[in-house]
Amino acid sequence: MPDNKAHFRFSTDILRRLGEELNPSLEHGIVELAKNSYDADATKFTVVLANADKPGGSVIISDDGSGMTPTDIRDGWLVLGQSRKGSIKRTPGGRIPAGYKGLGRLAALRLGSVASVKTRPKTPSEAEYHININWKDFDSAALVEQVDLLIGERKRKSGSTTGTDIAITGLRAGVSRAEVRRLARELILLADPFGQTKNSFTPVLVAPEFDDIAKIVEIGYLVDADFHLHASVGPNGRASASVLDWKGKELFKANHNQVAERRSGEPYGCPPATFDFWAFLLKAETFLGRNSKIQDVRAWLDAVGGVHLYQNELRVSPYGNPGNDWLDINLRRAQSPEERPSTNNSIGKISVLDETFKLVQKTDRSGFIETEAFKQLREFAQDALEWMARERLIVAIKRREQERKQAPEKAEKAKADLEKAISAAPKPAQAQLRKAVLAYDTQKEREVDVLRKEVQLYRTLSTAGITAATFAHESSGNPIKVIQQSINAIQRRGKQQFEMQYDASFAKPVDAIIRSIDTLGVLSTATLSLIDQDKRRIIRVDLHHVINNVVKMFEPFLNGRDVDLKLNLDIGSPFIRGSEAAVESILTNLINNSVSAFELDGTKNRTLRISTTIEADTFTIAVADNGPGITGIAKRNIWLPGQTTKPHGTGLGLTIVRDTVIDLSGTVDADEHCDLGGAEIFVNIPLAGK
Amino acid sequence: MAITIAERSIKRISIIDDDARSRDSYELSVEDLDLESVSENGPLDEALPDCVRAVSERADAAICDYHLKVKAYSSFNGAELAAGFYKKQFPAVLCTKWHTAMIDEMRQYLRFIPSLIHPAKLDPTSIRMGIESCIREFEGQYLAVRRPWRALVRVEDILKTDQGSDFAYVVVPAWNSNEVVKLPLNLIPPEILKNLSGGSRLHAKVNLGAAGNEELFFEEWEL
Repeated sequence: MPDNKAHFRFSTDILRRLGEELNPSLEHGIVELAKNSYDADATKFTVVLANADKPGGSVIISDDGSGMTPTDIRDGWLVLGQSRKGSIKRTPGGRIPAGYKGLGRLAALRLGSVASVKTRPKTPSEAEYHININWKDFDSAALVEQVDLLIGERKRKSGSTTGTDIAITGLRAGVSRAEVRRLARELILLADPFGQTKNSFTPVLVAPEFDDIAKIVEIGYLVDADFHLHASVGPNGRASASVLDWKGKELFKANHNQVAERRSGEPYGCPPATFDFWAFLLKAETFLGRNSKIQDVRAWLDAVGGVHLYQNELRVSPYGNPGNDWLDINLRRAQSPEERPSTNNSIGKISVLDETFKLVQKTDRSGFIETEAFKQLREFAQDALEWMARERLIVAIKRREQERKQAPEKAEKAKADLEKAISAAPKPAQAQLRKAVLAYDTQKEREVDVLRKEVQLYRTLSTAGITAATFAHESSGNPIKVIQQSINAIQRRGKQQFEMQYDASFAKPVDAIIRSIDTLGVLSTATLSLIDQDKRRIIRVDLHHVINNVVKMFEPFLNGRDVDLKLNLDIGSPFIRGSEAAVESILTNLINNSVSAFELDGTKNRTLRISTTIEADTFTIAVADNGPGITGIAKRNIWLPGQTTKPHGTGLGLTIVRDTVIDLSGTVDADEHCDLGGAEIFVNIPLAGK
Repeated sequence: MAITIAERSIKRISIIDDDARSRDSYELSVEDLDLESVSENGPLDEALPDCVRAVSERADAAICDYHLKVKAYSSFNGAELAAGFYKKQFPAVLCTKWHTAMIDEMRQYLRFIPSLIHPAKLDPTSIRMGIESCIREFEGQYLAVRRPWRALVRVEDILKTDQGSDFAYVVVPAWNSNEVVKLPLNLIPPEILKNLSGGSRLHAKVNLGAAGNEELFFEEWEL
């Protein structure tokens, strides 16, 4: 009877596709081998890179796990692309299997020209099995199945323990420092860098050519964290949290409702999890008296920082990788910087006990599928961080209040100490010293007085701003609307009823009212526009776009003041990374400054010129006018707070300009009398692109 | 007098604004259209469907201001009410001086507001055109600025705030590849939203003829 059965067969080329092309990175391949070791209940997993910085070097991997029998090798280890099916059984050592498909393993084995495996199972206790994979054999064969892989058996050396050793020799390419750094990071983070798990699995990296990187694997600085947040969510979705200081003293504690405040106490629909987060202040003064050095902690955080996610004790990439801020820690800090950590000064671990695998990993191992369970887990972690930030902020405010209260007492005590010291001085010097101290006191008092007034001025202006915004809502609403509608009706009806007579008698005053309404409208539009929340987001800011918008907004206002505006923008679309509000604030203050100068001086034929130039990577905004120029104040003093030549000026406009420009890493300059006759202010900002 | 648009006779126009002087000022334009105005002195019915029914029984169309909640006049804003009118095929023009924050709030209703008029532009002509564009849309005839087209939408960023006002920042390349549009997340169906992040691309029906950001609406999302 003819054989009518047929099967798919694979060309040897598929091994390259599945190995090198699908899993191109060294660390992912080796991490998959580490997961094999973990599932074999190994406690130690060692990776030795020997002469690996050059082609022809080798990678030797060994573990002390339960080893493999010939059946394990044939039906498990050599089978590629097999996924977990049915119920999950724990390993004999009680671990939840990490699970793998074997593709990363293939990629690792194909790093060299030959991969040799030696393995010693528990039973038979005397045997060692070995298998050699020479990839050249596959190069000369057409189909994968045509290459026989032989499993040999020999007596194991006396005293050798169970486990598996894999030697990948004849590396096709040298391993770079960047790859070793990533591998080190993966190995550190693979199992237990936080020293908390009892079921410990210790990866070791031996890399003589990259000794400095290998060392980082061994060290930890968690004890030096200034704040340790510990939060957990139970099977019922209810959370709790606490924060300890670096001495282990509890600072804050929260129940579920306090953690879940933003969701009104609704339970979290994620698997049970614990979240440990260590935040470092990284200030020289906080490290005084500690064993570790601030620069070492920085380097360590640089290598392993971020919030890492562990499912059943094994790390899931890419959470917490460099650039992977999956909890939006940096974004939250940008929105509200006080008392919040960034990914540069913190490290965290979220451990999920997920025996039923509610969190499902993507096939390409690039993290979890964004299921509701995953989103809820993220929300739990973000809520815990929010709660910690709130608590820290409350403490910071209290601390400031306390410092303010204590300041006079401390000053009195210091004064008493000083008086004591003066009294101890020789009699003739005492009078002189007292005179000098009095002069100093008087000067200091003046300085404090100026600062106090400045703070009050900022508060008053903030209040004025808040009030202006409230009124802007109101004025943009009813009164202007009523005037607009009424004047439009007068115009309509007048034209209809009086025809020619309308133009002669009414057109002019009616037009004047309509124009005035436009000018009035700028007040509310400008105020509301300046407080737009979106403008404070840190984004790519198109500078010419913002300048055009500001100019458009000010146009009726400038027309109303007979100011002729000349706008000369350079060619291109220069942009920075910053906030639109910052750029608006610069230009708005400069325009206001010129308009005030015109008014003060009574300038006729008013000209305001806004021009931009792009030179190399610097963008310059120059605002010039034909007002009186900088007079009655030294040029260098115009940026100081409170310095003004206007009778009711605040003296803050140019200070705000300067401070904002500094925030954008730029510089300011001024010309007392430019070609137009008045002042010209220059703002130079480094560009992100053009 | 009455005006007839697509065989629909409009005689009375309801004026909805929480400020009496504003209502009086709107009446001037209605009078110049030779139509009768019905001033809604308020407070309006607590439930929106009740208010829609009551107003539509008293008038044939409405001019509605956006700010209705400043005083104790209404429990909903003008955009919600105008959209409620539209869904019951009752023509209404929404009068508002929009600014960014207001557009954020209004975006979800824009699909149902064919006629958005700035107070400075509200006059007999714009009122008539606004009512006409509503009635035409009820019959499936869209103005070019309102016709929805299936378009690619690119998500630039998703921002969740502590205040619970969550937004997506998107770009509609077929409309303007350089302008970012802010959308409240509740505009996107949850089953689609759960798969979105910065960089995602999806499709929606968008009125690509819209002249400005404040006129854009989105519906019928597809991933």
